[in-house]
Parts: sequence; C-alpha cells; structure tokens
Amino acid sequence: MISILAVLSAGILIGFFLVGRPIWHKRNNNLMNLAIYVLLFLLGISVGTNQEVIGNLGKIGYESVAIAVASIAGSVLISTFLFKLLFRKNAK
Amino acid sequence: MRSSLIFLAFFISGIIAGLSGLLPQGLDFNKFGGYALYVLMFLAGVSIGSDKDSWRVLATHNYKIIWVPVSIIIGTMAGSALVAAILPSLTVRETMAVGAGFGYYSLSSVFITQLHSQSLGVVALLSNIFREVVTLLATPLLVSYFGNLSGIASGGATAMDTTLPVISRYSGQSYAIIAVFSGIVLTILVPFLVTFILTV
Repeated sequence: MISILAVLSAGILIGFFLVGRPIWHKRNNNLMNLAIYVLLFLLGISVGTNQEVIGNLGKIGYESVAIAVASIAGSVLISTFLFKLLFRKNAK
Repeated sequence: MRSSLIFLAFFISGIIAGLSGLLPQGLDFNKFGGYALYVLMFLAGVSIGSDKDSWRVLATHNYKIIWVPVSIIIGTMAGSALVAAILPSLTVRETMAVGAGFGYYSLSSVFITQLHSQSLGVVALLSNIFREVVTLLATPLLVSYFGNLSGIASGGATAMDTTLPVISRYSGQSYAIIAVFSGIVLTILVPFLVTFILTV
C-alpha cells in the first residue's frame, strides 16, 4: 500500500515538470489507456484460469452482480444528495 | 462508450485466453498485474501532476471533499447489507464484507479468502470486478442522470486508477483530483473495513 502511494506521489512530482506541455499530457494519457488494457486482459486471464470460478459461475455470478449493483446504487444515491447539497453551486 | 467497449473487449479476450489453456504454464499473471498496476499508478500520478486545473479543485472545495468517501462508505454498506435479503446463501456480514472491497478486487478477495473462505473470496473477486466494469461502462450514463460525483461513487476505490480516465472524461478534469482523493481514502480503508466486518 505504502509503495503504491509512493509510486503515485513520484508520478505527481514528475508531472509538475510537465505542466504547460500539453503534448506530454496527451502522450501520458494514451500510455495510461494502454496500461488499463493490459490490466484488464490479465484480469480476464486470472478469471479464465480459475477452475473454482468457472465451475460455479452461475451462482457466484448472480451473487456477485447483486452485491455490486446494490453497492453502486447505494453510493450513487447518497452521492447525488451530496452533489446537490455541497458541490453543484461551486461547479464550473 | 467506445473506450468502454474496448476495455470490455480486452477483459473478455483475457477470459478466453485463460479458458483456452494455450497460455504457458507456471507464469504468475497476478504478479504481472501487480507490476502493471504500479506502472498505471505512476502514469496516473504524472497525469494529475501535469494538470494545472486539478489542483484548483482542492482550493475550491476544501473540507467538502472528505464527504465524498464518507458518503460512498455509507451508501455501499447500506446497499450491500440490504441485498442480503434476496441472497439466501449469504449473511449480512458476508455481503457487507464483499461490498467493503469498494472495487479493489485484488486486495479484498485475498483478505476475504484468508479471513473467511475461498468461496466468498471468489464472490469478492467477481463482485468487485463487476463494480469496476460497470463503472467503466455506465459512468457516461450515471453522470448525466445523477451528477458529477456519481462516477466517483460508483468507482469506489478504483476511482484513483482504473476508472479515473473515464471519470475525468465525463465528470470533467476538475473532478479527477476528488476521484483520486476519494479512491485513496477508500483503498486505504479496504483492509481495515473488511477485517472489522468479518471479525467483530
């Protein structure tokens, strides 16, 4: 955890030197997309190679989707109130 | 929407590659994922640091920003507790523990496997992957109906890395720093909250 935050901070520090150079900002964002593609592909591989997951996919899948949807619905609902209460006036 | 479909295509082709059995044996793909995550964190940092606008938000919103992760915690815990009512084989404690991953599937599934059981660990893995994938796919829609914080709320802990590009694209660059702040707070809390829920 600490190492992940250290890497993030290092990136932010280096980013300071790139302020006012939009080309590098754009290049960096393209690289970010590439890293996400790699991560999602690797994630797919670990799901595809896990026999326990593939075997019980029906029940596990249903439970997983239900918890995910409920979690998202709950937090989106409360964030909507928060947005109206505190953020909208200051939004650009 | 196009970029979300590309994300999904990479995820699905990964599953197909895994199922095909054609991949070389003995390679630790989770380890690769760990390295790739570090690269992503670094790039996300550069993206934040090199963006002038994102720092203005902290000055504009100041203390209010802390309410973002707080509301996500309350909403997620309420939602995942309630959903136990329609899932007969899981208890409230179990569904809340899965919800407390906030999309951070790698860490929460490992923790839940260790503290509880393998099967709940797999549910945690998939459920939190779904949270991330749904956020990637639905953020454009959520933002237009529920406001600029909804992508951050939906993304949970992932708002600091994997879902950050789609959030900053649709909520605006000025929300990227809120997304990172909220994501960092939630990410730090995941191991504590999961342990607390399963052991208390």
